[in-house]
Amino acid sequence: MQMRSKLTVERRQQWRRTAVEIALFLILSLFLSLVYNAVSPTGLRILPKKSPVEKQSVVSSTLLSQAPRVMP
Amino acid sequence: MTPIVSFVIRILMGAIFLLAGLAKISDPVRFMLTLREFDLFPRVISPFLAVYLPWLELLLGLSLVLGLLYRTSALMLAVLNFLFMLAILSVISRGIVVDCGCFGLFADALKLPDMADYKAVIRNVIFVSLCVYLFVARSTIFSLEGYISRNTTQPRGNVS
Repeated sequence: MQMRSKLTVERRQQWRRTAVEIALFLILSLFLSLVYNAVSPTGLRILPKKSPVEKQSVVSSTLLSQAPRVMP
Repeated sequence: MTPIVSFVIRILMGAIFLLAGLAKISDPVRFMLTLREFDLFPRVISPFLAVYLPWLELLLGLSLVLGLLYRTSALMLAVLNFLFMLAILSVISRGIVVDCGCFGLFADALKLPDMADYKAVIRNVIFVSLCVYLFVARSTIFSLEGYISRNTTQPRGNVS
């Protein structure tokens, strides 16, 4: 009984270690990929660029919201 | 016998994924376009995947070659290849003729077939099996992990 529980604990620890290693790989590759992409001349634009029309609409809506309201 | 077989598979798989990762890193635009042709994700995600996945492959391949945390990387590569296989099967089922994008520039240089077809599926099944074998076998030779564990468990007084 004690032997079995010891085995279960060992197995659980091993799976926990594997999970930590997986997280390590995922985070390290994310870090390296982002750094390389930022430095490399062939790097891709990861975030989509807002088009001038979208920008203009954002600006105009902000201006409209800030404009004084004229009461009839 | 098992450690030798495991070592050969480890180096082979490591080298394959190292090269695949390098090929994709050197031409991210091509990989991004291939991902878009697969038509599996929203267009916004494909640049991120095109930047991230090659580095993950490169790190996992390097870890297999060096023999450091190789069981975890074998497990991750098995899952990754299984997902690639599902993606290729989805493309085949939708009747889309597309470049698989697996080896990028190396496929061009070596004139290897790199299409998303049943051959690619079979190749991925073999890769998944080999990675699962590496994860299950547990024993290997000439690994950095083994070297470190040998040196850390050795009593300090024995060093002459």
